[in-house]
Amino acid sequence: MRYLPGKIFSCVLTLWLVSLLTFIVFQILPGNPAQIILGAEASPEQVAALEKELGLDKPLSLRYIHWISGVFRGDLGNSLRYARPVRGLMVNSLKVTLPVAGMAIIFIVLFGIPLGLAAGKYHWHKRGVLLSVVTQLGTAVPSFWLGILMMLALAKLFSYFTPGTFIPWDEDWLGALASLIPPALTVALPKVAVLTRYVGAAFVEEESADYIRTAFGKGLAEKKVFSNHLLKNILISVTTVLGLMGTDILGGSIIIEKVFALPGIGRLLIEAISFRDFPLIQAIALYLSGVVVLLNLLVDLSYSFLDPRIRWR
Amino acid sequence: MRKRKTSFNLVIGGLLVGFFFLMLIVSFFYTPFAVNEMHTTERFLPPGKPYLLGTDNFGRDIFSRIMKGTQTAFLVGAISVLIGLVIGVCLGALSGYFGGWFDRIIAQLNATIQAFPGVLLALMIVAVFGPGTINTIVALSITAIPGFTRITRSGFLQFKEYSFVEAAETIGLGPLSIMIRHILPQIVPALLVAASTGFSSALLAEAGLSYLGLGVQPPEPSWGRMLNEAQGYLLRAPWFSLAPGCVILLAVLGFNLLSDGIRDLFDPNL
Repeated sequence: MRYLPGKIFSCVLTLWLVSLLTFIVFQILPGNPAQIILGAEASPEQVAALEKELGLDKPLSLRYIHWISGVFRGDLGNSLRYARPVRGLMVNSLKVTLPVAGMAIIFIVLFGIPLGLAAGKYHWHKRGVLLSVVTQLGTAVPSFWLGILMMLALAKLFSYFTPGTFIPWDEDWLGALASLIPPALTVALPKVAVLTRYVGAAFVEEESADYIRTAFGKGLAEKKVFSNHLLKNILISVTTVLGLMGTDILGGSIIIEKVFALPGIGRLLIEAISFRDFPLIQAIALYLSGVVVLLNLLVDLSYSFLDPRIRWR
Repeated sequence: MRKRKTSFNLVIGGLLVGFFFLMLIVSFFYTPFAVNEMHTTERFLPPGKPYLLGTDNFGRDIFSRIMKGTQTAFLVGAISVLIGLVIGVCLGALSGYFGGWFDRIIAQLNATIQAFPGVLLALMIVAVFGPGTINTIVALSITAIPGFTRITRSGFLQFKEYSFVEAAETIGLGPLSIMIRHILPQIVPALLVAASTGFSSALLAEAGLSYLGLGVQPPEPSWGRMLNEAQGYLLRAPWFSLAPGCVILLAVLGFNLLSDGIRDLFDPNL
């Protein structure tokens, strides 16, 4: 059982390194943050006062400890630009980003796995070739362009053209959900293509494996072979791909939110970057990479759940 | 049947990539119009004559700007893949051949880099050093390193157990010459495949960053930023949004197919 503790240890180590990196990167910055905030005309006294307020007069290690202990208490500091707690800003944005990501994952699984199984089954068939061409295009399409195309299509077909008008959840949750479907589809479609190709390839590979021949040999019906043997083995690799996709979905939604002008975490990040709002950037970067690290850990855990061979390693 | 499919990927991918290389070379000597030449009376012209793909919001020729954008895209793609490849191969080779604590440190550093989803690392670098072509290249190079490291490492782990390596050790070759002359050539196909895919991801990432306004800055034309400018006129001039997007799609598709084609060519299992 050395597998799990090792994974968890390296996961914690990665999180610590990420926090160190996100912190240090903004401290070695050319220029004084206090000066940047106040502008070039600020008097040295004003700069010194703000430095003290931001804790910039203390040594680097102390500032790191202060910041990271705040993170553990759920206190991420104050945004420089909005002069509000970073935490509140992030919670508000996540109400948009997380539903988009969640719906995207649902779409990916819902379309990707059946299409992939079809792609595997009809691999040597005309339909399979057609699917392969479509998915090849799907993996190459830039997602933000897909978003632009989707807006164009919605405008031309349904005269629905309302970028930047996200309805808050408490006003009309159904409307909010509906307005998040096009962005979620945009995030999902290229990944559906990736998953389809992946499942298709896994299907073709597993189909010729010895255990499948054995299963047929002992007289199992095709359906049984498929659901009891083939699908189980394909699912293990699907879990990996989905875990890796989690990273892409988060990264991709940063750009997609800009396309649809959604007030999510991506837009918050871009705004924070253009205003050099470091507490906000640090917090978002730490949050996003934290999610990625935890997702990867979950994938590793699900391995040992799905594949008993790994449990005993 | 399998044979034919193999050459299909390689041929289509090669043709697309070749087309873009041709466009790249021609763009140094000739574009139908000067890239930043504005025809203020001829804004938002649909595709036709003399503007092959129409004009943009300043009356600039979209086709000329796309041609010139090839330079930016390929410059960023080629340099960042090259840097990622060189550093990744060095780290991966040492990691796989010697193993031990060095291997563990490199694995941990890679895990840390890969914890930043997609464009986030690039965005952070841009946040610190400011937007621009060079910073985009730096950001994409760093993102490219872990992939090349992993491929090189697993190749070295696999081949160092082979008897030809043992034989080379027996006749007294040093680790460096074994690594470079005996193991490295074995993994060149895998690296070529990864470089081709890496190039297409770099193209996508550069386009994405420039679309966000944080990548390549004006006046250098970039496919991604053209899309950003075009989006504001989506209903008025749809072709302005369509052309750069199609070009990115075709370039990425070309390098993806090329990568698949190379893999089919070298991998006897497929």
